[in-house]
Amino acid sequence: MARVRGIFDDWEAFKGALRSLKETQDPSTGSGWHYTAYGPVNLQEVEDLMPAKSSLVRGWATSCGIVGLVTFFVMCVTTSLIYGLIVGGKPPVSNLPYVIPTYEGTILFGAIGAFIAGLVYACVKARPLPADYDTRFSGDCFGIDVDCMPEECDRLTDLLKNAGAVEVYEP
Amino acid sequence: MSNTELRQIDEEILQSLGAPSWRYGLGLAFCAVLMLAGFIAYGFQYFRGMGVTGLSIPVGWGVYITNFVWWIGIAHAGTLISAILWLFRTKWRNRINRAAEAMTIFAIMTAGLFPLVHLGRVWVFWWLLPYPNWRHLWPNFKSPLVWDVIAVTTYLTVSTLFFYLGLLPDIAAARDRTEPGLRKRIYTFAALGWTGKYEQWRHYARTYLALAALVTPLVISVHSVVSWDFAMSIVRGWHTTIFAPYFVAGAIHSGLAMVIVLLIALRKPLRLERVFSLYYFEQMALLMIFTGSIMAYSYGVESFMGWYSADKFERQFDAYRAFHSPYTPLFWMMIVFNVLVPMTFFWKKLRTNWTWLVIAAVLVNIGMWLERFVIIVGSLSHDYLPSSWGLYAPRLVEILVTGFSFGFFIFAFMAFVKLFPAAAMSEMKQDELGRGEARF
Repeated sequence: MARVRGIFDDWEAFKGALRSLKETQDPSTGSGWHYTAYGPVNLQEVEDLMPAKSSLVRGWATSCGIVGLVTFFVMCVTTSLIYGLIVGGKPPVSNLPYVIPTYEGTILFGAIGAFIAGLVYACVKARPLPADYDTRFSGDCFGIDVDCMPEECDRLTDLLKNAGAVEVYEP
Repeated sequence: MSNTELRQIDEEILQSLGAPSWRYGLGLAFCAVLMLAGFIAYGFQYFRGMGVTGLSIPVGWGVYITNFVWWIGIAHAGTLISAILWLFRTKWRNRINRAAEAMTIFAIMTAGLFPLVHLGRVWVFWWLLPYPNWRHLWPNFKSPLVWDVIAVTTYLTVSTLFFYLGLLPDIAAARDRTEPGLRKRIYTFAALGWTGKYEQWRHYARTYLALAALVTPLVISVHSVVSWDFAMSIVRGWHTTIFAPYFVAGAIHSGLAMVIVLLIALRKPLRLERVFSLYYFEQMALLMIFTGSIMAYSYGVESFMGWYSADKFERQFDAYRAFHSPYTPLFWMMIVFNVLVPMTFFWKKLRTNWTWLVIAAVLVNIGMWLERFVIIVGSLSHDYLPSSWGLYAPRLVEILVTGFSFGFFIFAFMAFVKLFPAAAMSEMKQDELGRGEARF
């Protein structure tokens, strides 16, 4: 398997190249080149032109939020039972005041869950960058990586160049 | 759209991370002096006890709690700008959100110092934390003070996560444009391997949305909880249902004013005049007209309800606060600074005048501090029983500890703008491309 990378300094050209690649995909069979994009910004058009994928981050945020809700409510109730101080004539377990810690706990756990899930799914790890990483992707250029068979490299190079790539190479 | 504009954004923001000027060093030294003076003052209080402050019966809450509420309020504008305005797809927030978020975090950290200072016996602060200790004593979760601890720590945690997430692509950009050395190693570690790959952006966008959606109700709840420290008691002037929205609106009001002051102060020394142009300050000034109007409404409703309740104590207290109290001048300064001064922003000439923007923002910040002071001290000093009335004035220790908080906050903010990009580069690039926000 080979890989061809196109570098774009123009936003419209970048989108055009992604559109061309998208058109090579067969939605019914899922066949076609596997490609991904790089860039310093995140934009709607890129998402539309990429193979459709969902993210489980929101699911984790919700799940962790529910865990936080239960944890904080149970904490309030059980600690009140351990230390049954009657305050202001209220019974030791008073549900209404516990809404506040429970609410905060839901948000706290939900946020931590979303954050950790986001980092894990994005494969963001504190380790050396990939050897083929191009620093222009965090600055002013966009990039497209396409995996292909070695005999398809020339065809892909032409496709990317015709779309407006300023540079095409095999990383 | 060529890449020239995107490159310019990088160059413009990253040049601000260069070697600091002597003025910057002087600013840091000034902050260090403030911190040192406050630290010595606090040491004096620590060894001599709370008697060295002006706090006594009946006014047990004074400048320390005023500062706590005020700093928490300052923090709120950062979240408003970064999360709430983002959810509403307000474009103009993209240049100022980074500095506002940093301000939020440093303001919460500063605020968090004051309950500790106010405790007196600071070495037992951990009694407020929920943990199963050997005494089987747990905090009372029915108490607003314990709600406060949970709300403020949650706010600090979630704001920090939100801030760091937004910073990731920009740290990566800084990493890729920094010469090898310690700074590059720090950026490389902090960027967590960010490459700008589509898969990373996809999860990043979902996480950003989730955090923005979570931090928005959080910001409303935090100052509501702070207001309930007062409203849950039966002290007149405190026991009112309007306190939660009143405090939240006031918090955003003062926070916006602080963002204006900070950004105007740093735009020239950091050579970011083009990034933080007048347009963004004008938008904030317009927003302050709105928050100032809410403040006016709140003041009006508070006084009206005092009269309409037909409660003789409430009516007497309203009259006392407005006309006969030693704190009356502060009350009227509060009205003028918080309501009338922002209304001057209706005139384009004034809201586009740099000098007036700074003056007005500083006055609003003073006004909001006075509001907290008048609420806290004014109510406590004039209880139901005339025999328990008494006045309060802060002593030197409290003033110096307050100075410490400003030194700490400004020091942290100055350090931040020299270590990390002061504006969100990736979002500015997004703006330049004119593509709008990603669909999440």
